[in-house]
Amino acid sequence: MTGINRLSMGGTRINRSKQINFTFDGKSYSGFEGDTLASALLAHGVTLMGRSFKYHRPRGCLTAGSEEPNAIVELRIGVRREPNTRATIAELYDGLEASSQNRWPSLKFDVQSVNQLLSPWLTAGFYYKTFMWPAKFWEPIYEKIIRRSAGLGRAAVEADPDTYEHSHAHCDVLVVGAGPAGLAAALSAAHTGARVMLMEEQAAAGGMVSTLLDEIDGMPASEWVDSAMAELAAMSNVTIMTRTTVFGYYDHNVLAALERVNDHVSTPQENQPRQRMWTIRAKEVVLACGSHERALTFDNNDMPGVMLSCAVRAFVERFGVTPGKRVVICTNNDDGYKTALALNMAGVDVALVADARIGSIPAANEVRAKGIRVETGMLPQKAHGAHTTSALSLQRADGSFVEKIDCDCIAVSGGYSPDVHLVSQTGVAPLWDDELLGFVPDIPKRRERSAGAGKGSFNLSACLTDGHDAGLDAVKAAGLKSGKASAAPKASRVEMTPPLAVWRCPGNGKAFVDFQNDVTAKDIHLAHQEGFKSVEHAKRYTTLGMATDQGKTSNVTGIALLATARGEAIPDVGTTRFRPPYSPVAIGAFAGHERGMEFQPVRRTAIHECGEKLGAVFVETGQWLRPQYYPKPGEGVMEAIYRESKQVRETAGICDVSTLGKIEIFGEDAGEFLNRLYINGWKMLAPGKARYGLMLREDGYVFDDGTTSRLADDHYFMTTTTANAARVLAHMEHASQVLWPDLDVQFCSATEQWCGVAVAGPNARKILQAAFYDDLDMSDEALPFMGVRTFTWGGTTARIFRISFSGELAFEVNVPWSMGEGMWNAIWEAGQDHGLIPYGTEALSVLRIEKGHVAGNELDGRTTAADMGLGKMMSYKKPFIGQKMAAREGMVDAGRATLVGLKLKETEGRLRGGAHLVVDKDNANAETSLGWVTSVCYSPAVGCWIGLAYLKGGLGKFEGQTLYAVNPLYDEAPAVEVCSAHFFDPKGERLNG
Amino acid sequence: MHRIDCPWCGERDEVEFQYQGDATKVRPKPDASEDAFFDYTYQRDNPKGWHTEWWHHVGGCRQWVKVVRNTLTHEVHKTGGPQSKLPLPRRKAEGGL
Amino acid sequence: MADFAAIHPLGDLDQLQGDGGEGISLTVVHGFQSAQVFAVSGKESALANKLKLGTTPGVATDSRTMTALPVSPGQWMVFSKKQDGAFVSMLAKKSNGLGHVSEQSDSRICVRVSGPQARELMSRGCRLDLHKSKAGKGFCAQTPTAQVGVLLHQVDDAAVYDLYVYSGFARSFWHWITHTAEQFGYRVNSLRL
Repeated sequence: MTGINRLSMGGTRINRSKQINFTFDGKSYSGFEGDTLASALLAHGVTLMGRSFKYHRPRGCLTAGSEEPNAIVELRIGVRREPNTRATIAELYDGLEASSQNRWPSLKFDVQSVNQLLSPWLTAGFYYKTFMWPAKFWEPIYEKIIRRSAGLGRAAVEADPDTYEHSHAHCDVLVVGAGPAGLAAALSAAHTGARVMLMEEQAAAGGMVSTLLDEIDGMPASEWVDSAMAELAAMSNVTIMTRTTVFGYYDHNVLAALERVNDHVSTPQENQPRQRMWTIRAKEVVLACGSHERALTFDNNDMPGVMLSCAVRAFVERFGVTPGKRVVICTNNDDGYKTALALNMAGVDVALVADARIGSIPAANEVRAKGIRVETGMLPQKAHGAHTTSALSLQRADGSFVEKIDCDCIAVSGGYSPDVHLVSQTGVAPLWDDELLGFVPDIPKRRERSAGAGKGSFNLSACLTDGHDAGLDAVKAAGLKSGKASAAPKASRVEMTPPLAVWRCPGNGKAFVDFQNDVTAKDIHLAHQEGFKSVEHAKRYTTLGMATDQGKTSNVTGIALLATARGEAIPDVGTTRFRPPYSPVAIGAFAGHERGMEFQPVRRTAIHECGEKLGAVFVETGQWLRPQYYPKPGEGVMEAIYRESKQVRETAGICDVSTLGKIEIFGEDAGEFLNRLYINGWKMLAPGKARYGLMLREDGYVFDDGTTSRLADDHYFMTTTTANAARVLAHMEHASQVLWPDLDVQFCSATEQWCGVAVAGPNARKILQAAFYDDLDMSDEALPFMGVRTFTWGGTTARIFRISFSGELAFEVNVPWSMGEGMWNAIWEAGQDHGLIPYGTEALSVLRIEKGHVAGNELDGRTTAADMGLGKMMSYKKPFIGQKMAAREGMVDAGRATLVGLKLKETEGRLRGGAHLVVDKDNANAETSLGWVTSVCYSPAVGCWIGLAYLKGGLGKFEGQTLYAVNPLYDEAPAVEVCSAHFFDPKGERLNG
Repeated sequence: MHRIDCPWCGERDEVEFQYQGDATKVRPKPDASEDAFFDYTYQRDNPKGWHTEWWHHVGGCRQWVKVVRNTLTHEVHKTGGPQSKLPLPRRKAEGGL
Repeated sequence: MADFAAIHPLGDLDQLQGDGGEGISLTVVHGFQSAQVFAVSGKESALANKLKLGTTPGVATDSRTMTALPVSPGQWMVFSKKQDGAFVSMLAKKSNGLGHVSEQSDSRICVRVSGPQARELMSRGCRLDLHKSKAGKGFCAQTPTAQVGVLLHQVDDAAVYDLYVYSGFARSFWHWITHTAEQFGYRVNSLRL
């Protein structure tokens, strides 16, 4: 026996032959395999498990399941420490180290329990009223105090060492919950051959079935549950998942579930994830989620030892643990009697069953026959005790005291609320049932149906029939043949007496409604008095139902008390809506693999390793990694960039340009298609030639630019900027599929088919000619500027484009991906005698800024072709996308900011992108700004910092003048001279080498 | 999460698609007025209820899929290819909205 | 003149190793040629007949020499069954007047996933229903797997999948699939066609 309250027999979920050792707040205990932390602690008579959120009142577990509001603990230590978990669902494993939270210095002597003495001031809206002024105190002072005193546990501070993963599922019928209704539904659906998934939150099936009292199909209920599970497990069309919580019900019958794969062990088994998040696409859903018992609202009803009636039964039946030696049961429905019988069978002393109802109650007679005292018309008045219950005062409905009775456990039942969380997530507002005293699901909006206690069938026999019918209904609704249906499992029908509405047992003390957020009956009354009458307002003002349990045990009572205060019926008050997740889900589970190196996929070019070998520092460009610069030993970033950009203009450089978007375009109308996409004309472009093109968006602003070549009459090859590759392809698909399906044009991405390098600089031709030998004539005649050739090189097809971004004699060479390394090596080798260096994106940028070529910084979605100085490219002989909108008054306004160059006039300091240009640096503001700096670099060719900028009035108005580039972030305002953006070789003579 | 029935690929998850907005707008002829282009480019209704939208199937066949969808309930009534004509349903969306 | 040696996007395939487990088999299939084939507007069925390309979405057509996966109306991804330098030009020749051919031999790598837990492995990243009642031999689809676009082709009635992944994403995808396969145990092979 492990513990003074462990019963000598019973406990369907524990394995008595396997003892488990664990600690709670540093003290060692033992339990059995199959125990939860709560059941193992109760077995040792430990009822104090936590301190409440606001008042720091001592608390024990109220429930035996995931709806637990009180017994919130930290599990594990070190990197795996996990706060805010529920002791009632934490499965015991050997070596578990658990601790209480929200107490200091210890659980028994919590300093902040003085909050109780302050409680008259800690009522609803306390924070709103108290910490209002002065506002600047909020962050540094108030928030820190509140956070420390509020009952939130401590998360581990290091990175989570475990892995989480995602998984996807499809099924005909998803059954949520493996209680009797869920099992019956899964069986009836599975027997038709439908693909069934059955998900159960707990480690074992059976739900709320009473293993001591209930019989199904003539056998003890636990036996029936085992045989049903075995039957389902043997069917190939059924997937059973336990320890799996369906926490979200989303659009189009997509549901999400969390599988706790390794939460019940100390560390996950090797290579196994800790948790797995499932996305389930279910044709039909059966919601057999059961119901939540409510507490009774009486003074000190939060005393450790006060527990829901069903929870007391669950501890006895599942774990062979009694929460007390002498139990008083207070009930307003038949559930209390069930608990009395179960306790009696387990040999536990039931001192009294106090039923709020009067009149004939058949269930009472059965209990009396066992010699148990039953009183009707009697309510709990006040629980007595220090850290745990020692007695209970009882009263009549009119508040008159009857007697005080010694006990160490009070089992309470305030009736049952069907668990309508998931159905509420689908947008169905639940309906009030006046006889059941609970909200039941309304007509479904999704492909679901509820069964069992979840729809208000509290009778076991009804649960089974319900579930059976729901399973068959789901199969039918999924459009599958139901064949010959199996018979529904049967249980004898018990006569039940309806519950009596008792929302507040008379009293003036603290009677808790929402245990987790410390909301009392008085708070709800107060909220109403202060004008928070709508249920949504009262919820937010009191925080009722806003804790992580989402008010599973408290919402209905809260609404009923609000209705009483308003003098209205409960349906007129309405409910708030439940939202996913049903119970808390770790962020790690949502992230799955997508963290660290797998946060997002990385795209590498074919010659990534060539760059690596030469010491490249890589930069992320979208998902691509590109060499940014190649520092030599001891060289800083700026020096490397300076050296690379200088060297390219003196000898030659090679740069990986594989990341440019590449699109192959075919078809008789390909030229016409390009004419409509680009602002310039394409039909006259001869095969074997390339052309620079500029695209607008439909609104007339510049979208993207690039070079497109004509490889054959009906075959073009387009390049896009790296950043816009996907957008341009989508834009073209829109154009061809939606706008002009009549054009004969076909295209696809070829970005990854080709590896591309640019070779630029005066020695570029020499180097390539050496690399190609006789495979290609590189003379100016054979390959003039903007010429394109396809040839065979190194045993593979290669394409060469004589185009230049740097303004130097330059070529881009493409070979198939697999040949990229061979190409790089061949060129590299040939370049050794000609001063070839590798250069990265930074030097690439310096070279293009020196030439005044626009790139991403200038293509910012707010600029027109004319703003960039490319207005003359716009053809008026043909229509193209954006043409009409680009002609609007504001788009052609002479006062628009246009592209200019800037030179830093000062020898110290630097230019920065984002700076604003003003005439008077002491009067710099939004009104006086004349434009902004887009790209900057230190130019070796010009010998100073230079930049590109958009400037109102442009070169025409400001050429040669001095402005100031104001950057308040750095408190800088250097003087700059406005000049042409063509800083270097304005006539373009260097293109010929 | 939406499930969208691509006319080519079949029913797929929402994540495979890029929402591309209003599919009721028809691009004017190139010689149409500036106003007509202004309307095409900028003017959008924001209907509560049935709406025809573009969902570009970038993760699948890369077709522009036309989708008649209820903006309130998210119910998808019909889907079609880029040139399909999909009338709005007369019925209310399932779920009573 | 030197011939360039082909380098696989996953690098030296002999260096790729499993963990010795038996749940999953990952085979890097290489040496194939491939192309995207487009029909000229209005010539879809003529091209399909000429090249023997199936036109049912989601269904691959297999011949002695090639596998064709319909990827969009009038568009196919076609893969050779063995290394054949003339494969793409042969397709272009046959398509003349009816279609166009874009060489894509180097665009994608192929990872064949098989083994007793192949379907389970796929469920960790693939959002499609690969249940045997829904997907058998010849099933094909384009769909993101984990975060990477994949062209999937089921090559057997058993759970054996050829996954074609863009070369740039090859290493990221390999990282994901091997990391995910660790829970089942996996072997790695390569197969040169």
